[in-house]
Amino acid sequence: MGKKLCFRCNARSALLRRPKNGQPYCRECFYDAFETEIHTTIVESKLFVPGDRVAIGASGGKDSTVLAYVLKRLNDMYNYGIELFLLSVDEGITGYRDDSLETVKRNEQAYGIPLKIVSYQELYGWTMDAIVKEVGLKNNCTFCGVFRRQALDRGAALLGANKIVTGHNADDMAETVFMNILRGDAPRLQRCTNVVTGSSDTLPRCKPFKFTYEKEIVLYAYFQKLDYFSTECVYSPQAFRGHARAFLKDLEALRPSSIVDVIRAGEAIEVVEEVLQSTPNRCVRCGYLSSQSLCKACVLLEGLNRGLPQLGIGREAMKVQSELLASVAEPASAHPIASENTNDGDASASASVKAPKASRSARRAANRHQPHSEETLRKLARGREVTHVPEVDLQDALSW
Amino acid sequence: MCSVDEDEQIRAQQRLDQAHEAALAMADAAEPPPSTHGSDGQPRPNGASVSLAGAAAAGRGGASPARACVRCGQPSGVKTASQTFYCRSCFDIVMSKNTRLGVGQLQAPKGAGNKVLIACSGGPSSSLLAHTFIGLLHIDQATLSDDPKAAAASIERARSSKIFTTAGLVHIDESVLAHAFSLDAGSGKLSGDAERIAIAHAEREALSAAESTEATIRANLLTLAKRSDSPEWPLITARIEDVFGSGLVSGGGSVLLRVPPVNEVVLARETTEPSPAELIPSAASSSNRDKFLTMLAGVGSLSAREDLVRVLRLRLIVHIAKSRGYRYVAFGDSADRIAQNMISFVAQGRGASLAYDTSLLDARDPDAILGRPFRALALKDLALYARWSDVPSEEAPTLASGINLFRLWKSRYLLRVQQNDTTLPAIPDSVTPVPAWKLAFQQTAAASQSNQSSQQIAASISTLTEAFVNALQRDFTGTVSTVQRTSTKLVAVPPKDEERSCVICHGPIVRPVVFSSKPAPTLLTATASSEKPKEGGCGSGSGSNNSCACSTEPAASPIVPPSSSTSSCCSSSKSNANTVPTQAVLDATCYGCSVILRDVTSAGTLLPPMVAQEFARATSREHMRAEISEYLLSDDDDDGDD
Repeated sequence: MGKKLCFRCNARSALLRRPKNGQPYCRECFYDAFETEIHTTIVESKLFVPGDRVAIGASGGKDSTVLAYVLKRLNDMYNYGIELFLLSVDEGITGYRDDSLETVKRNEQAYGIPLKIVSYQELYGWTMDAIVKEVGLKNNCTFCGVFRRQALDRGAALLGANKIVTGHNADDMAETVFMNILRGDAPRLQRCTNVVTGSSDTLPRCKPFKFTYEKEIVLYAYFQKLDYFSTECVYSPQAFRGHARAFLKDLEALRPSSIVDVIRAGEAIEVVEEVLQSTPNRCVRCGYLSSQSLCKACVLLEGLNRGLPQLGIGREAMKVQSELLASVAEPASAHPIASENTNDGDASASASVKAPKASRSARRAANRHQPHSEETLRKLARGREVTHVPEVDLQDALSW
Repeated sequence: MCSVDEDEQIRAQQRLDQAHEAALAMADAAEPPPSTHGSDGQPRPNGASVSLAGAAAAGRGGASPARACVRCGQPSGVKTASQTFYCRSCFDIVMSKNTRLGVGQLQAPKGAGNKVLIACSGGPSSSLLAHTFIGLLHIDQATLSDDPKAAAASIERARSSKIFTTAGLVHIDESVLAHAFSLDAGSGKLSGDAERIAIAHAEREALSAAESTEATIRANLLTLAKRSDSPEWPLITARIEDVFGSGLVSGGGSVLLRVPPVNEVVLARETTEPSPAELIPSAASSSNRDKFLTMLAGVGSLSAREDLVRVLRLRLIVHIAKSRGYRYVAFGDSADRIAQNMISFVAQGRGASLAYDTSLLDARDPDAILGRPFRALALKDLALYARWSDVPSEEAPTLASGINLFRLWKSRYLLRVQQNDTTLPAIPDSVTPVPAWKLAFQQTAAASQSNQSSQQIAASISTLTEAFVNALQRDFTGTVSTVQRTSTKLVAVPPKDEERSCVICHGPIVRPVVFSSKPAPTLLTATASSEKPKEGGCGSGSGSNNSCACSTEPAASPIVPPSSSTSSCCSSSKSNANTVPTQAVLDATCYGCSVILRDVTSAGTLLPPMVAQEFARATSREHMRAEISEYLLSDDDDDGDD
């Protein structure tokens, strides 16, 4: 057959077969197609406006490394006029995060993007290593996912960023669609395919890689010789998600477009109004956005600090919630986040979370105490039926 | 874990049968002291549980101690899918109640003279549905008075109190698919005469097996239909290839003008067998068969083929229902089926119609309301109850399972041929010219050699999903019911504009949110490459400037319009003036059906006339709309224009 020519330019000889469509591409055309698609996603969904301060959730893994590289490149090429930051969360996982953070630090040098690291230790007083010692390997991802969600917001606030971008790719998103169907989580099913998530009160989280295949990211990193860290988290068993992931890989092997098809299907799905979120609320303890009176992080943290780590998980969560609510008559709390936030006046100017609000919402929540616990009861009742899956969206516990 | 295992594939049916048998044996032994041997031959304590669908669950359940029936306290003989223990008689009572409740959920206005058509594949679930309807519509003849007039009046009264007054069975004969089982067997690398002979033998076996399966199914359904006390319960059978029948093309409006070419057997009480003449295919059928198979051959992937057959089957059933005055169509979809569909439809891009496709009642079309009364009931329980209620069932293989069966047969025959087995029947020399569809299959298979043909086991998205859901259900009981309940949380958004429903499946067309004016990203991938790099992709307005995605899209559209009203944007590059630009067709289909069209590899592939007609109608409506658009006051979004 001889040498294949690039499907796109039909001039240079092809170097690779594109995972998305199976066509032969040369290096230049692959770079260009890859970047153009991400650019299109950014432009079409109006992800950025000039002057945006954008924090890139950087784990040192392939997705976030390529994201940082490509965003910088596109920003220069198309004059987005945005300011980029790398934002890393140090969960305190020896043998995993410490190594990957080294990669991020190298990227900081290589791409000239300033880096900020926030750690669980400083935010919550716990490292994941310590948490795993307490809770074992069963529900540890619940803690990590919940804590990371807040940590990213805190870090972005410290950077004065107004947007967070994460490296969630098309595979992750398709997998999440399946996970939410399998878990019966209709509200998340509704919003998990949005390219921008987050309500008006939180920082918007954008996913420029929404339509970018994981395999193409690896290919791109490989040919661009990008430096990334590729080790699975030492604590992630993720049994259930592993099934969904394997299924998705099988689908992709059968029909490469499946991944995008799943995302398209997910976008078109509409969920009954009443199962959608209740009115967003604020945690009476730390002021973080929460559907309950207490945010999940506070509940989990309380359990940890009491030496009863299972408290925040499952049906016990209810009891803790009401106990804590009662104890939060006065909003002053020992929660490190709340105190940190009040101290840091600069950052909280643009931050989503402000301490004074907490007391107001505490009063509101106190008035609404009864309906809230009823709702919690219902939620827990629903949760019990789905006993085999954790309640928390583990999407953030993935690489980002 | 969900790679398709050969044994799983081929022996799935066998295993189910064995489990049935075991369950039956168990049941018989259950009233006197229960058997001490379970389906897997392991000794078990009293009240051993039986698992039908999940063989692994049965294995695990074997270790459980004796459990009493939760209803009566007697030793139990059945463990339901939801891990509840019953004795046989309580199981019967509960299932009888549940199945009737399911049907009762089809909230049709009572006494409105509703006719319901029951779609029967022949499998346990749909057969049980027919059985349930028979029970519900039963009017006790013994209580009627001798006076025929009074009797008629009381029948009338009894009927008016029921949701449905009369029912019929419809079965779609898909034995034509057996021709497609060998689709890639004859392509390319034949090792020699032996293999060719083996293929011929296997083809013969596939066809005769399909025929006998169909005959069994039909006999089963006739048996069922005859159990009704009403003489006018018909069994309507149509062949799937009849979607190409000219009778299915409607006139200008939505009125169906001609009688569809279906075979109908109206059962009088005394008729024992339908006269053979009624089941002989019409003369048109064989040409329909060729058209149908040519169409299938033009679709490059097994998944798309299966999906297309599914969509067309549904449309055929709906057509039959409407033309015969049945306002309701009931399907036997079990919870397992709903869960599988939830996943596989999403995997195939069918998110917009997902709520309809999995709902209890799909009333989009007020003249043909689709119901799924068994959507909350586990297949395992349904199958067991069907067995115990003496409801016969037999399932025809799907495309994927048929292909795998075919490969098995082929390898067996190959062995016999190589060993010079003299007991093999002679294969007549192929004197007849090879039919066009067969060549088409071979071409398609050769073109897509990298994909299916090289795989040991043919897998489609639906078989993959089935394996996935079943495996999950084994490890996490509750998967099926959770997914099934997820489907109840979906909301069916009626299409804003009546015109915007898919010409192939009638599902709503939802424009992608992000790329509102651009083709879907998979197309974008293709177009971004055929265009200059800086351009996003082909301007996607229907039929404007366009160097439309022809280079990587199906070479020509699979629709030839009945009239030449449509202009082609690519006519310059196309020799055939009759073909419709692919982009225009894609604009008139929902995302899920565009996924099918994307897999169309052969230029000569034609979709059934009813699709073409609908496309022509949609196109002309679109033109009319464009013409009068300045006078329309509605300010809703005009997507599609850019």
